[in-house]
Amino acid sequence: MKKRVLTLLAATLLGTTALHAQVQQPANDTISPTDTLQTVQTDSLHAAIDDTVYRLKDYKFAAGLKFGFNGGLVRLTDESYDMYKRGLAPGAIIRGYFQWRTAFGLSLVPEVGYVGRGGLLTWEDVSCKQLVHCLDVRLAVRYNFDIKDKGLSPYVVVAPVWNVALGGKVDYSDDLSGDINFKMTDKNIRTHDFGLFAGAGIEFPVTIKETKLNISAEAGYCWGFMNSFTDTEQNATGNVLNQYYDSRPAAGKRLARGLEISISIGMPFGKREKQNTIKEETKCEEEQK
Amino acid sequence: MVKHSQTTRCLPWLLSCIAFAAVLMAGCMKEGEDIILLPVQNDRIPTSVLSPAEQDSLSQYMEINEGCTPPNIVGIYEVSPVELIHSSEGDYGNFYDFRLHVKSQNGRNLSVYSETQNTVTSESGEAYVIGSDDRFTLYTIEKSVNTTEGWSWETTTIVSGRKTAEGIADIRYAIVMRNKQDDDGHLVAPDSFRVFTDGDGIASVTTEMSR
Repeated sequence: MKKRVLTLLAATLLGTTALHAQVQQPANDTISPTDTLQTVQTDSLHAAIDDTVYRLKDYKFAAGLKFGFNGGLVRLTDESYDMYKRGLAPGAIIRGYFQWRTAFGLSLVPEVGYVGRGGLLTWEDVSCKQLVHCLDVRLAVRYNFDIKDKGLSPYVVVAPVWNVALGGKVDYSDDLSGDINFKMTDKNIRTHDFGLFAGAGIEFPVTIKETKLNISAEAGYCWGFMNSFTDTEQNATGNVLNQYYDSRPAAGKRLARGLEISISIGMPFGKREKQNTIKEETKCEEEQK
Repeated sequence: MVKHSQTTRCLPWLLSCIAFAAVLMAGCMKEGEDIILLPVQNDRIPTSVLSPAEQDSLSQYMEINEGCTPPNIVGIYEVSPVELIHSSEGDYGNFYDFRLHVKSQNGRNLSVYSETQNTVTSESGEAYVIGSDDRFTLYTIEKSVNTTEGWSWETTTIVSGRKTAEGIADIRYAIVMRNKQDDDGHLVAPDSFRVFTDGDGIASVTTEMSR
């Protein structure tokens, strides 16, 4: 807090000096004294904010947590399922991340944690909802854009994703069977899925009580590449709980999709040395003058 | 600089540990046998219900309709007088009149079917309706048990016709023996079938299952 007050005082002082300098300018200068004062004061305030809202690329690393919502969807490729309406199966996102940020805005962000995937399919009296608890491992490649003099930094991100199914549940119902609810097993979904996530977000560096934090909001879409139908479903060799005349062995592919919205909070560390070198060079130049 | 190199060195280890943990956690998935198969639209009788050979044989004596847009045939119909059109066993005789009850036909064209012959009413079972416009074919598999005689058998019932306001015109009713268990050979042999019709040409709509 003391630091911030001192910085503001210094900025105001600098502003006053600059005002005197402007006032001493020749009379034919079109800038009025009032305009000069406003500009200088705004600049000095920016300087003060710049000190509290640090620059993201000043730090090489960051680590933190991500929380959010995944609207799980299922895509069935076989045309015999075309009449099914797809709905979202809400799931949570809880992941830890580590960020390795380069000076030119590109970051490598390995993430690991939990995601709830799944989907809802409905047709006439049939409703089938799957929720799969997954270990989610991804390696995001992120590019941050700089907005001059603003703390906000929008970014785009792509990430190869590896999902490992750990469990889940199946909620099925139709007129004849009523409700069928059971825990998901290895006969209901393939364990491994690989996919790609693409999204965009905005990152905001803040300092709260001298603690530097990265807060970001992100939205994107995840495409699963692997067919999640099991051999048991494709050959109908298991214990079929809804054995009717229109129940058929699974055909085509069942692909996972997900609409992900998340908020993350992390702490930067590993201040970039290049920045210190530049500062030292500037000091030397000033001393020489 | 030291911090940087330490982090860079730790990162591959960290990633390897995560990958290893993921592989281990893959074993957490429970084992089981229960599955759900998503229902789809049927436009013909599945071969699991009636083999292609059986369908060929039957189609000589009755129309087997196809399509996903059959008429709604919910109602009670009386087949009277019953006439045997064909018996694969070559036996002929007089058969009781019977009534059919189709109810709860839903958007998937699944319905609940039961029939009454003489004084006996069968248990309600699932039936599927296919066809288009006013022509339809209903099929169902019935399991029956005669505890007194110790017999048990499984038959496929197929009903075809044209839905009209008065009932089912050009009705054909077929029964195919799928399998049976009777020691004295009283029941007809598996794969044998009989095809019936209504002597009036129409199975009329009625309100009661019992006479």
